[in-house]
Amino acid sequence: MLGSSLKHPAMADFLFAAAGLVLAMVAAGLARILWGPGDADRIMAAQLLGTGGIAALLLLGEATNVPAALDVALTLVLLAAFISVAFVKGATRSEADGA
Amino acid sequence: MAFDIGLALLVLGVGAWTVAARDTFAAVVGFVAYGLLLALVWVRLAAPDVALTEAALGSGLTGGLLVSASTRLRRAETRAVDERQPASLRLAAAVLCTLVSAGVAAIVLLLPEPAPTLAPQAMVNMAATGLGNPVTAVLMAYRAIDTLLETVVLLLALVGIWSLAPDRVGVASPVRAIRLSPTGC
Amino acid sequence: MSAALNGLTILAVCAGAFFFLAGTVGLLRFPDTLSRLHALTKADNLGLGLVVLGLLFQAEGLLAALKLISVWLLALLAGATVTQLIAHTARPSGPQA
Repeated sequence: MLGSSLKHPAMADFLFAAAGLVLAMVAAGLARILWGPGDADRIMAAQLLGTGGIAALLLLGEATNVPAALDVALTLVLLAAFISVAFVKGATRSEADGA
Repeated sequence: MAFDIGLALLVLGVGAWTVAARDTFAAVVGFVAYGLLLALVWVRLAAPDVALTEAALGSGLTGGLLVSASTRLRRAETRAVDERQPASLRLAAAVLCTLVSAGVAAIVLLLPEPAPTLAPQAMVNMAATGLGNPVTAVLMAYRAIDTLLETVVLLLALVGIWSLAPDRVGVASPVRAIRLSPTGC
Repeated sequence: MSAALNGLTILAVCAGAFFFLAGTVGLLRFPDTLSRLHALTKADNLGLGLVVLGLLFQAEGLLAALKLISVWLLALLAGATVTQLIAHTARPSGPQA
């Protein structure tokens, strides 16, 4: 179908570099977990880390020819939704308690 | 190579920050981020099955549990911060943790190569079990009594928690109505 | 043919990385929680979408392509739901204040 099993080595290097770039930017976004003046900011930084991690995982899987990375990314994206909802519930309930 | 070094540094940094974070909720968010990065590390180490488990259980479910625990502990947190342990106790704990970590690192580095393994024998006898997957064969056939007793242990732990928890904590009854606020969150 | 596909992949992945960069910069530099949320959704939808599009050209087989697309669709769904909840956390009282 589309693409071939023999990848051009420069292509693999490019995808690798792209994965590294996405990861570096997501790492910079982690600073928001550090500073974030509210819980919402921390949850947002975690969400960015999740999406960036999924993108880096997809790129990695393609660059190093590990097809199972796609399955891991699928699991992660399903969990990211539930974890974010759990975080939001945790944040709102504690604020409602007046703590 | 640079990617791996960067990933390792990132994992260490997030782990250190999670330990040093002041607020429990922030630490739990850091923990989930740490688990996600660990899943990436496992993929780099050519172990996608472990990466799946890490992503689903290690950071996903455990993170959800920890968030729920941290919200219940929020009221007690201010009191706990005031009761700080004396510096000598904390120093002793730090020394003990360092020794244990050094011991584990030494054991891992001194492992024999190639590692001794029963995998060939397990594969040879798999036809008799009728299962396709060697890991399933170990869990269900070769170590079946082990798995059964683990189930018994889990059940006993659950019954213990249900019996001993006070009613106001709310875990005593297995069926509990979940109340939703009007906003739905 | 494969050179054209490779070129398209490079283009799409670069664009996706750019959107991730924009989203991260927005998350770090915007003054307000809600505007940071806006930046985050751009990284989520467009960044991941363009990366997935680029990788679709390299995909081997229909199943891999379907998995890639479903990853993006699920991320969209998760993002749409969660941003509503996060915005409600940040400002529960409504548009004023």
